[in-house]
Amino acid sequence: MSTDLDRYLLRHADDNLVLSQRLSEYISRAPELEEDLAIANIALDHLGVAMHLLEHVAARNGGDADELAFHRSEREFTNLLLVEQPNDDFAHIMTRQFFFDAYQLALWNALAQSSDETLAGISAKAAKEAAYHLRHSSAWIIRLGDGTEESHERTQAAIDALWRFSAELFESDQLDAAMVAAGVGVDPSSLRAAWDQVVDATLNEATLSRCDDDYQRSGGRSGFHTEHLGHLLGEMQWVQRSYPGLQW
Amino acid sequence: MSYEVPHMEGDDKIEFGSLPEGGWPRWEAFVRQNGGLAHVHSESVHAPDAETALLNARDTYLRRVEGVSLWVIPAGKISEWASESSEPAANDITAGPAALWEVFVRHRRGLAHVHAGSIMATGPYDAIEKARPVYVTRDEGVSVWVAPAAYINAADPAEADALFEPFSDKDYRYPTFYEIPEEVGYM
Repeated sequence: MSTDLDRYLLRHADDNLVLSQRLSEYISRAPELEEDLAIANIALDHLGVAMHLLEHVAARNGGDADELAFHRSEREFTNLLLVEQPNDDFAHIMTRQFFFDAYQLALWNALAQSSDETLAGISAKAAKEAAYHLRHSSAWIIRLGDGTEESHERTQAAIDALWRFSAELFESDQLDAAMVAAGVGVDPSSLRAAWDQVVDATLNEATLSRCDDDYQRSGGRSGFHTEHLGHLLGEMQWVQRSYPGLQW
Repeated sequence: MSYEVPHMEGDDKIEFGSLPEGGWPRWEAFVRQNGGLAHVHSESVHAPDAETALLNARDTYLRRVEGVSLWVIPAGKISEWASESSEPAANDITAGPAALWEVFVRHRRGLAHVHAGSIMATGPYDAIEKARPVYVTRDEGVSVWVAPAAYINAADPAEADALFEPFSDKDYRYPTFYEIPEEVGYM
C-alpha cells in the first residue's frame, strides 16, 4: 500500500487523526463548559475527516481503516509536526488550532477541485467545517490577544513557540508534485499567501505579532517526528495493540 | 470576523472583574429547526460577547438538533411580562426613539417561548403594552418576552453551511448509533 495517492491521502488523514486525538485529551479540561463542547465538536469534525480519508485508502487496498489508525508506528505516520505538539495552556491550544485552521481552509477549498472524486467530496465537506473552525479559533486569538495582560503574554508566547512548525505546512516535495501533475493534489506552497493574509489580519486585530525568530522544523511528512507523537500514539493505540482485532 | 455589539444609550462596556457571580453574562439562544416556521427558545449560554455567544450556542445546542437559523440575545436585554407574576408589567419604563422590537410568546407553562412577530416601540414597557393585545389571546400561564432587534445576534444566512451542515451526517453523535452488547444489560 504505497501508491502515490495512498501516501498523499494518508498525510492529510494523519494530520486530522493526530489533532483529533490531541483535542480529545482536552475534553473536561477546558476553561468553560461551552468551550469544552466546542473543542469536542471540533475534535469530532477532524476525526470524521480522518475516517473518510482512511476509509478511502483502505477501500483501495482491501484493508481496514482501523488497522491504519491503530497499528502503524510513529515512523509510518506522516502528519505535520504542528498537530502533534502537546496541549499546553489554552493559548497554545488555540494558536495551534488557528495556524492549522487557516491552512486547512485553503487546502480543502483547493482539493474540492481534485480529479479524485472521493477526495473532492471529502474536501468540499471538510471546507465547511474548516470555515467554522477558523471562525472559532480566530475569534479566540483576537480575544486572548486583545484581552488582559496575561492572556496577551500567553498567546504571544504560544505564537513564538509554535511558529517553528508553520513553514512545514507549505513545504512541497516529489509526492506533492506528482499529485499536482495528476490533477489530484494541490501544491502546498500555493496555500501560503492565503494563510499569511488570514494570520496577519487576525494577529493585527489581536495586537499580537509574528515570531521574529524564523527557525523552522520539518520532517513529519517523512515520518520523522518530535518526541511527542510516540506518547500520543502509545495512548491512542494501546487497547487495539493489546487486544488486536477486538470488537466492541 | 468579530461582531460589534450595538451600544444603546446608557450601555456599560463589559469589564472583567465586574461580572455577575464572577462569570460571563448570560445569553438566550433561539433556534429555528429544519422545517420549522419560527425561532423557538432553546437554552442559555454564558459568553463574554455576542459573537462568542453565537458560537457557544451553536456548539452546545445544535449538536443533535437540525437547526437552520440561530439567534442569541443578551438575557439582560429581554424584558418579560408574565400573567401569573405579581410584578407589574415591565418595570423599566424608559423610553427612547422608536425602534424594532421582537416578541416571543410562551402560551402555556412547560412550553418554550416562540417568536411571534415584531413591533415598533420606544422601550421595554411600551413594547409589552403593544405586544400583548396583538399576540396574547388567553391570559393563563402566558409569558411574553420582548427584546430590541438591534441586540439580536443572528447567524448570517451566508454562513449557514459552515454553521449547521457539519452536524448532519455525523451519526456517531447520537447515543442510538451505538449497539450495546447483551451482556452489558440495560444502560
